[in-house]
Amino acid sequence: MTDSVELLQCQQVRLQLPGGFTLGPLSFRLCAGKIYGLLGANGAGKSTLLQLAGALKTPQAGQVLLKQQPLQQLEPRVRAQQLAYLSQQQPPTNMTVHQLLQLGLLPHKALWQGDNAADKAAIDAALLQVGLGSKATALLTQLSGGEQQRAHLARVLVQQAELLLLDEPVNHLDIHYQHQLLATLRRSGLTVLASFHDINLAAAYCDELLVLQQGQLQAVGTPEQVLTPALLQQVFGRPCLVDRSPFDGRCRVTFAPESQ
Amino acid sequence: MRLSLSVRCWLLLLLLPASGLAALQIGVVELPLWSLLSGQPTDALPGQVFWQLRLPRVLLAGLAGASLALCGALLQLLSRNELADPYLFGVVSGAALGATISSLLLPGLALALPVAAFAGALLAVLTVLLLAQRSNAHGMHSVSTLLLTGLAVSFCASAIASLLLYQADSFAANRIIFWLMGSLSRADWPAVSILAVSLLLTLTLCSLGRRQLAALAWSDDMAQSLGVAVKRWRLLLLLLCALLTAVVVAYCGGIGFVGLMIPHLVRLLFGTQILLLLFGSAVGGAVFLIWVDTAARTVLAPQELPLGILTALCGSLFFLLLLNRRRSPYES
Amino acid sequence: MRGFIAAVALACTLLQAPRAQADTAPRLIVLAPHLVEQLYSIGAGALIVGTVEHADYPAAATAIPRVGNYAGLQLESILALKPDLVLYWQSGSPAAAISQLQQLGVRTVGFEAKTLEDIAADLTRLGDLTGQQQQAAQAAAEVRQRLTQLRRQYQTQKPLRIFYELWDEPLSTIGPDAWPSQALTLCGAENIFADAASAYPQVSAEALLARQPDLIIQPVSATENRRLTDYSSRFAGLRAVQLQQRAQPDADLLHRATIRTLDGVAQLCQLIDQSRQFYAAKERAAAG
Repeated sequence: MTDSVELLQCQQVRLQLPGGFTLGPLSFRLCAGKIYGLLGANGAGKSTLLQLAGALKTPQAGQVLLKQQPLQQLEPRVRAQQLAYLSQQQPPTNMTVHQLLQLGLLPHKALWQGDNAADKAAIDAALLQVGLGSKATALLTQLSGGEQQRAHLARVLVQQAELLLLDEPVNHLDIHYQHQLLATLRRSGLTVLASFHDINLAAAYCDELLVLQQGQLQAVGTPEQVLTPALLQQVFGRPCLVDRSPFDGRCRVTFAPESQ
Repeated sequence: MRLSLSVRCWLLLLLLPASGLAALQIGVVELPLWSLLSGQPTDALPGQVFWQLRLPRVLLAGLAGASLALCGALLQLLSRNELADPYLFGVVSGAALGATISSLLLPGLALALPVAAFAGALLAVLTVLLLAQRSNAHGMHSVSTLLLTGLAVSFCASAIASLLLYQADSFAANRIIFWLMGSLSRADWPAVSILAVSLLLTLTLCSLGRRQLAALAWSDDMAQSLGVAVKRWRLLLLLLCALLTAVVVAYCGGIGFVGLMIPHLVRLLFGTQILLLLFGSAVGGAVFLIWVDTAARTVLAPQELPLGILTALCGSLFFLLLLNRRRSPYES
Repeated sequence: MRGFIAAVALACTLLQAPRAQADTAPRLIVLAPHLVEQLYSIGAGALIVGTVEHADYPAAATAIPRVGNYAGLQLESILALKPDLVLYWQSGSPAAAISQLQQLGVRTVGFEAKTLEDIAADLTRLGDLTGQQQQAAQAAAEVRQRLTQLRRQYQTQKPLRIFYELWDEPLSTIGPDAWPSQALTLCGAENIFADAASAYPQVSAEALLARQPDLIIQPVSATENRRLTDYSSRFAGLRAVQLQQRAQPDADLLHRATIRTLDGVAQLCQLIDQSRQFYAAKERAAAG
């Protein structure tokens, strides 16, 4: 896999938030076509890292490169054509699903360009991918939590970026859609950096995992390399068993329950 | 029974020319409108009244109403606060300060007042934007900063204006007080053309940036991740609002509540789609102010009622009604 | 409404016939009450076809159609009355409306009485504009003569320090640029707030107590009620209060720049002189 193209590179990036939390300094690189899972306990800095990579926050030291170019110096529209970001919680809006997906096309539209049939086709395709084909005219507020999450994911897909930064994308989704969505992402050939709480789900679909603890990268590598009982105990503070899934032979983690 | 959206849109659109024509008919002097427009020779007086007084006045009413409502809608979108109003940015007090200074220094020069009021309004808004921008850099929340800064600058400008007026003769104070109450009596063709150009510019930019506006109205982070140059767009739109309001205030004085009330009504009737909201507000504001001004110049004739009194009265009553009808989301 | 105004205008012009000079007499719109009064006093009142609110003297003036007030003018009404000439008050009429009228091609003439002598000068100008030169010259001469006489009688008398209470709450007085200042000077009175920067300053109770006027002047109006300061409680420390030196001249006469102003000034001078005599008698009693 060493011949893959580097898409995003973080070099000695450090960011201190007003609350005192410090992320980094940390370095990593994302290669084209791979799925990366971001793991860590609450408050480890997963969302902050995704925001840094998505240019929503500016590092105080170090830099983030997108295709060898400093992220902060890219024209916002050019950046958004290559990089799509989905935050963990979506601010409330009274848009319809279709209007939301139209926003996803924003980076590809010049000011004077109207909406055309190709846009409509792209939006319909994205909605089909997340199983919302019949909900285009519904208001977002009328959808269930899972449907809303899928609509937002469809918005990210319609943005047609090479790199997707997803903050807990399978949050709110039922088991069926969790797997369907991650499978869709794998098939798409896009580069994805997504944060997860479900380690087994991450292990099943990600090529590589990044483990954060208190703003520091503890481990980077394939699920087999990263998911060791020692590291998991260190990061999540709980003993666990790591074995293989009978379905695909990938890592499976079972944490020991609290003794009662 | 609810009419479909497109029918409601057409009704509103038709209301504009209908209101304009009706307002042109109503007034102290009887106008043979048809023979005036068809160019048949009549007495000189109706022609003069029509071309130099009533037509520019009705046009200015429409343009001012459209501008104020449009600015209100834009600011409510940008601040994601349904209570935002163009007058919260210190525009009126800044304009009043400018008007006061001009009225003290050049009392006889009629043109000095709108020019000075415009300069004052723009200065106040720029101060507000600059100060708000600076405190945002220190990590404060942008919307509340803007509103608080606007409040502070307003009070500061009012205080200076009051101080100057207090030192001045009582006629100057009278002039400023009545000017602040709002009136379209100084309507003329330059005012109409300046406002028309500014309004057209703002509407064009809003149409071009409708996607950016939709994203900004949703969330700053979302807009930024969608490739919108958030700061640039926000500053541009705020400046246009400031410009538009400053022009309106300079020529018409204080006309409150239009920017607050009309977008609310439009949201109730037409929903929240960006362009529908902006253009609907503009048309609705125009219709509203045309009728209010017609009332202002005829109800108590020969006296003219200050416009701001009527709009504030309508606006506040409307708001009380709205608050009464709408249950708090926390109650149910 | 339109018809009504036109009818009133017509009725007025018909009823007030015969006009001063039927052929050349101009149709006047007069935008200040004092100018209306001046026109009536030179026999040109019938020429007025429109005026503003508060034009209430003489009684005939109340029948003239109104075209606005000091805050704003109805330009359409003014045009509808087809005036030959609009007379306005430079500092009191709405400046924006005046300049609009000028742009509409209406002939306007501005008036601004700054001194008591200007009353006479205004009369002469009004006479020239209305063709009533003879009556105007007479009235102007009378004004000048009465002024000279009052001046001769009072101006050189021993100055009396006065407080001119224009309004009670907030306590307001007049500065040197205010219109009544002229009358005070003519009557040989000295305003204790002559050093004020503005024409109608608010003053503090302490300043009033510190400056100890000889006489307190409270102008009162029959048409506009006002509250008068109760000096007996808060200002009991004033010598003028203890000696009951208070005067209440007629504000309706005093505050408008017309011929009647002379009556007001004469009344004011008399009241001031009474107080002057009171102090003189007191001094003589103390000396003797």
